Amino acid sequence: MSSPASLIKLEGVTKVFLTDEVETHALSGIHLDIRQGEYVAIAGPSGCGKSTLLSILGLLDSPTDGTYVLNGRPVQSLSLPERARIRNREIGFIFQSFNLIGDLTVYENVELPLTYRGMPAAERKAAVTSALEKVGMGHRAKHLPSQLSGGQQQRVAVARALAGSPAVLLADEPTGNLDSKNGDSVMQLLADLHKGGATIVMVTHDTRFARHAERTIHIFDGRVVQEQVEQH
Amino acid sequence: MLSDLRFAFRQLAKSPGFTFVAILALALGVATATSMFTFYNALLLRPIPFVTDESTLLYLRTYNVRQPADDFDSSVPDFRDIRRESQTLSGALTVWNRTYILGGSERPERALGNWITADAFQTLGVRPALGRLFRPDESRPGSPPVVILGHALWKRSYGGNPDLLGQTITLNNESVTVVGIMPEGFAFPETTQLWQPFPDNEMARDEERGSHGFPIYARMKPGVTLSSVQAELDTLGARHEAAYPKTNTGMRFRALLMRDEAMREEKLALQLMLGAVFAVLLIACGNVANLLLARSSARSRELAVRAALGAGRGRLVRQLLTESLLLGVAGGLAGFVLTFWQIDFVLSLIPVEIPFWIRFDLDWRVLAFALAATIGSSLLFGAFPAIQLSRPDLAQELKDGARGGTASGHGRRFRAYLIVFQLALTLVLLVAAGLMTRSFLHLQNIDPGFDPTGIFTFRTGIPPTIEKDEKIAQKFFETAIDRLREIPGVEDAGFISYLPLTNSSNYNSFAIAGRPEPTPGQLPSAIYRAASPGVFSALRIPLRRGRFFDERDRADREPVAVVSEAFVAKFFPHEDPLGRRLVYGHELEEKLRKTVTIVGVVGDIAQRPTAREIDPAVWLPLAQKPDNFMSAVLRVKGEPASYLAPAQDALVAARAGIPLYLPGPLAKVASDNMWPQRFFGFLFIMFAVVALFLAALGIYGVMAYNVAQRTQEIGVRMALGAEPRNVVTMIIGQGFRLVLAGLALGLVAAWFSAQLLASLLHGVEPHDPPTFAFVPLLLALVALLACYLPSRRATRIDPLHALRGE
Repeated sequence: MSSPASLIKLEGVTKVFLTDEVETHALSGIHLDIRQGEYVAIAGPSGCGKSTLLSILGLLDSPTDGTYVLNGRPVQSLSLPERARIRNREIGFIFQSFNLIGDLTVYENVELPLTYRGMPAAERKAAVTSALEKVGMGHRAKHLPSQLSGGQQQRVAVARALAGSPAVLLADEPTGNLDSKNGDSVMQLLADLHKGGATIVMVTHDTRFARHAERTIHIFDGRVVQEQVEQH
Repeated sequence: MLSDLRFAFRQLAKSPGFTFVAILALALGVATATSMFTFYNALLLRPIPFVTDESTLLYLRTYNVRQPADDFDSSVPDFRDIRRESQTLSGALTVWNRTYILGGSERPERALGNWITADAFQTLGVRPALGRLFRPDESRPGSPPVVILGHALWKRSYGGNPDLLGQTITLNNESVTVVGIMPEGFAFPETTQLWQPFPDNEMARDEERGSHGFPIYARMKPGVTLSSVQAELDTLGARHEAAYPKTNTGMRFRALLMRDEAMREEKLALQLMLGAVFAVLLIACGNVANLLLARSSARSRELAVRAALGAGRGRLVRQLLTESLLLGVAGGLAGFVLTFWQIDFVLSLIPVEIPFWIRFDLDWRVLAFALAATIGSSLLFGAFPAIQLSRPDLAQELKDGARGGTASGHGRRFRAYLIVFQLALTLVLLVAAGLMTRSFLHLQNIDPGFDPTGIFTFRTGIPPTIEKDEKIAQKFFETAIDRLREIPGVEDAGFISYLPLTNSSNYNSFAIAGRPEPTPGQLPSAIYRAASPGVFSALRIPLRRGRFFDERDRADREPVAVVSEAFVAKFFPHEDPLGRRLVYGHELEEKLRKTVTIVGVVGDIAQRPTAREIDPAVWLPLAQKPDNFMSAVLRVKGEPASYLAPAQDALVAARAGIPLYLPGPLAKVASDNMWPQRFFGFLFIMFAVVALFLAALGIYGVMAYNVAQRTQEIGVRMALGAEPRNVVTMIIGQGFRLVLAGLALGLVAAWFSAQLLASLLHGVEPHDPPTFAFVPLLLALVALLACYLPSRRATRIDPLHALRGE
């Protein structure tokens, strides 16, 4: 049986921030290979560069140097609209603070990335309904985010990330704003999605949650200092 | 309080963009409102200077019951009867404009003076600055001539010499004793520079009851009401009708407060202006309230924290209102500076001398208004945000904060309502400005029936006190025409009694010979103009039938007339007017009547620049109807204004000591006469432009603030794959929904309010389709631009920063 194809490949990625003549090396020579269907945790202390790495993976930021190949396509120097299109089709984001849009219903929030894709309404409806069912939020489709608990909001955020069937789900501290019960529940949801074939890259500083992943990449001072494969 | 002020100042300094926009909006609102109020105050509120108790001062007009809407001044015999018989009036006066020649030089100064009834100043309650008022006996025929000088004339022409009192000066070649100097600024009834007693025997015969050209001012007795004066005038009118059926059939008198009469035509425009100004101020307040509300979502957590730390509601309101007041004071001060500039600019649009009682300088009312506008608007725009923000839902605010928060629903809705409201008001103002502009353009483009370009004009003449013999005056004009024609560059020259396209005219009633005897009081009337033959060619007035005047039409020949097409259409619609005769003075005894034979028909010319229809007119040859004062019309090559000096030389050559006054190109004289239309049209345009700017600023400010507030949301959208065009479409779409609502509401309001302008419009319907089509389009485009700029900024949001900022 051949190993799954590489979905994300970083080679020599560095990220330097320039502020007031001070160079801050957020990432230095990162090499990373993530295969389809993998569940990878990026761990490290606060300020180590893990969120910067996730931003580069999510095409929210571009590396100062190095190459980034996503799904076989170099993406490190695309234009803004091209990056937006790839984010829309290939990447699903799950944020720490959910980032649901308060004025939109649960359904509309999940539908939002699909509307940017120009997907026909009927297809959108099917995709949204399916995503909400997957996360167990189908019954709250007409609610506003403010009417949901934190855990429920994060489930909706996961549904939004899932709805467009992205190549990879990027989760940035997905349990950071949740209590432990809701945090566990969301982690279980991600685990279930992974079992269903989803590729997940999760940033966390909590080793308890990192253990849910198959592989944990430890970052310190912008460098990969350790890779650890979890035994499940 | 000091700490509130300090904090408020810090808050405003922290957001310079917001502070600038808010102060600019308020400054424009306060300035526009204050400058308009200055005009409103000057014309309608400020007491008439020098005159005591304006509330009992009346202006009496005469009207014919057949056409009660058209009233006019009265006759001297009617005035004297009213003054003698009235039980409700304590006094009455009349005036007669006179042109005076001062001194005896070759090129003398001309001054506008009045004959005024001897006790007039006592009735008005005015006292002289120096000397005395007229004595009753000084109006008796044969009394030694006396004069009271206006302060400006005394200063300008007599060096302000106080010893002038009791001395004689030369007026119209007559030695007259100066008995008084009036206070500085007094020029009753409008711009008069000197006064002489109205002789008791002038225009006093019963035959003169048909000569309606004398304004009657009257003072009500204490405790008497306007309605009781009116009732008495009705009785007097009926009595006069019975006593003098030839002249007074159907004639009645109407009493109005003096200021109401003076501002009769302008009052509606002024009230509409004031309404427009309040709309502008409301728009400015709406803008700032909107900005404050938009800003409030950013500060809701800060206030929640303050409340959580124990700040009471009153404390929070005080702090927020301090910020509003600080903004208001800054806006008010900036607005006040702008006011001076605006007033100067608007006054520069008035090319004529304005009546003495209209004074535009600032008084306590204007200052109070500016202060009230500043404080009122500060409270108005500050109150709602302050009240709303001062009762935060602490748990929700602090929890929302943790979740990244969203702006409160009703705050957003209220902001949306404000935008819709101000767009609607702006549309109403723009429609009004559009209608006024189109009306003004219509007046400017109206075909006057002659060619006013290349015409130099001035007025001249010999006062009857200098030359009682009309033939000598007529000879002067004939000689003057010859001299004027000799000026190089003058192609044609003539004299006309009243210039066209000015508001001067003279209506005379007549009978048509061969027709049934007209009912008394129902004689037809038409404008009459005396003119020399050269006028038709100089003004290029077309001949339709018959002939113009020529050398045949001398004083000793058969009296003739030329009539206008409108005259023919009205009085000879199915007949040939040539050879028909008109009888002037029909109501007078036979020997005083004058019959003229129609010898020609000429094209219509516009006498009044704002007339809705062309008045029928009768032209009489100057040689057969000499006037003492006439207007010269010279068709010239090159710049008309450059002919002043040669024209003065020509007049001196014709007869030394005759003044030349009111000189200028006819096109400019006509244009100057349209100043009220231009003035009010410009004010509407100014308010509309300010309102448009404010509305655009408001939309821009709120949309920009919305974008700033929604940075995180937009960042999320972009993270989810929204492209720049998606963001632009979203922001513009949201803004434009408000614009459409505002346009819809504004169109309905404009449709109804346009009707109020109907009486001010010329050649434009209140529901003028081009205006109603173009104005919403313009507003929509400006609003779109105002939405587009923030939307472009939104596309530059870095999603990563937006999410991190959260």
